[in-house]
Amino acid sequence: MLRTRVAYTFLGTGSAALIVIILYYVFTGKGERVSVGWFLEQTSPYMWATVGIGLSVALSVVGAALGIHTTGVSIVGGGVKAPRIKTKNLISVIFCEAVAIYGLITAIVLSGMLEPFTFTRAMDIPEIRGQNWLSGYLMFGAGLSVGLVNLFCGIAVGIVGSGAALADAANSALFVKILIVEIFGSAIGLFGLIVGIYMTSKVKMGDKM
Amino acid sequence: MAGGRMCFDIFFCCLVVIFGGSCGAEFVPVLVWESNKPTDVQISSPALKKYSTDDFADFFINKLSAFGKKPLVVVFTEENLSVEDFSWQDLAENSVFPHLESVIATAANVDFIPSVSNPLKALQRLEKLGYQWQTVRDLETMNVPEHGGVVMVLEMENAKVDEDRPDFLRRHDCLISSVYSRLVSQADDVVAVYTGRYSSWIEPENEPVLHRVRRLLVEPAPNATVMLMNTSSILIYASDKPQVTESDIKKILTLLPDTVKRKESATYQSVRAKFSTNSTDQIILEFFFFNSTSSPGYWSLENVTYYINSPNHTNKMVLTPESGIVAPVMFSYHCSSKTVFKAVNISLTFQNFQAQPYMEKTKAFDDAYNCELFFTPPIWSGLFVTSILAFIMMWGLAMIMDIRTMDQYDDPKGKTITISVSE
Repeated sequence: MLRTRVAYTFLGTGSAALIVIILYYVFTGKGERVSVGWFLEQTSPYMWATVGIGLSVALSVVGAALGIHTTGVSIVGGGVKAPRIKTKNLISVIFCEAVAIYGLITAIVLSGMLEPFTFTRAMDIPEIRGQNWLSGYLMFGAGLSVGLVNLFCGIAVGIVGSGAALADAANSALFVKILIVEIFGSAIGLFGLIVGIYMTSKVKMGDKM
Repeated sequence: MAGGRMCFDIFFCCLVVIFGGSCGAEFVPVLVWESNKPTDVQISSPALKKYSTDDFADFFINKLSAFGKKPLVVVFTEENLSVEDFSWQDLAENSVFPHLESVIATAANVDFIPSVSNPLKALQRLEKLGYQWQTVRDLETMNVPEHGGVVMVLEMENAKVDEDRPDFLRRHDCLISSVYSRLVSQADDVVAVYTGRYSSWIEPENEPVLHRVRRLLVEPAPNATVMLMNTSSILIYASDKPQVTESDIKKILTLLPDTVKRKESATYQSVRAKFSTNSTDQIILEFFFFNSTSSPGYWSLENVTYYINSPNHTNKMVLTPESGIVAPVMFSYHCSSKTVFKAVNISLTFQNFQAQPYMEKTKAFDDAYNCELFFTPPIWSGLFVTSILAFIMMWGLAMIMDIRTMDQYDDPKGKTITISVSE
């Protein structure tokens, strides 16, 4: 299958390159140079923050899109023979959309917290440096957590919504009970948002203490 | 000398047997002569042409068919033979085959073909034409056949251990001429073939093998402007004289080698040396190498103390490096771009700086930690972000490849279906 072949090529070349590079360092006695700590310390907090912001909105929207795709297709398909389902089942789509909104909110909040800082001042004063680096990591963590949580939440709600639409098309009494499953699925998206907002409360970038 | 030459030949034989067995595209010379001259059948083609087995077989069969009745064919084969053996001459300009030369002078229809591929295989085709194949092992008990139509193959033995190749060929030369004369005396028509199984000449390589040796510590030429400070446990090198810029005044420092002194304490090792400039100032530089307590196993060049003794003033300043000079113990630090030590209003610059403290023997630098990294932090950041994006791309592509359209009942030429809407 093309999918597995592409995946294996990607992972295979990545692993091979990584092994060769790491073994070179290990065998020449410079093993300590392979240092994750050095990487984390030397990279710019701007990179971490902006990647977090990007991932929060991107992954959430992907989740919402997958969910709406799954449930929308079922509603359209089921609505051909049972047109009564189409209005009621839009609520599944709304649950999926909420997930995208969580991601958007987080991205906007994080973007507001992104401030410039002077590198030399940060190098001179360790507290400023610590603060800015911490903010970078926090924004990355918040964005990543919100993004991934919303991604899987959106997928789950979509699949459940699709099932609900088809069950409703078959027997309209089933819809209300299936909606409860969807509500639980939507709640986990909210967890991600809570954690993300809580993390961002500690963010403080800039040159001032 | 003769023994060495013989070993050389035996080694060549082995090599040639191995290669000849594997590739089989060996070209050997063939010398053919006859005792009588039936007709004028001669091979006529360019002298240096390479003959295949088939071409040689055709030529030889044509030659034999010119005889009325089948002649006696005698084949002398060596293990190794080449054109160079025939053209070899000693200092007195004698060749290795004096008897053979006299035989050929009296023979008829002499043909010398310099390169034939596998002539013995061609000669084996004579068996199909009704010739009897006879391999002669022992010369004493060799019986000359009465009638023709026999191919006698004489495989001449290998060289003796201490025999030169010319001597070896001369011995075979005597053997060939004696056997041939015996055969001629007893049989009517004799066709003789002298060839080898494999070629014996291999061109030696002309270029000598170059060994390039990389030296970490280059020996400075007598008049070079190299700075080298060598004490019992510290080694410092720079490829050019260091330069001091003090309040926009540039000075070039020349090391006075006898003034290099070492100092050691529990937390650091230091080396100090006097430098002269083109003015009357005298400058002392002291390099402090601390063994790091925060990260044990590493040494770091924390600062360089700069003392200046000029007629106007004396001064002491502490210069710190612009970028940290840290390396593990047993590794040196090297930077091919400028290494700068700075303080207020003053900077000290080295070119191609390499330093190592805490050495057991200061014969040569150990492996260097370079200031130029292969994977710098920006490169790693780029790789990190690019890998995230590439992963997303792969996932997207996989999803697109997975799309299955519902076209089982699609018929482009059929009627479009209509469904009556019922609420």
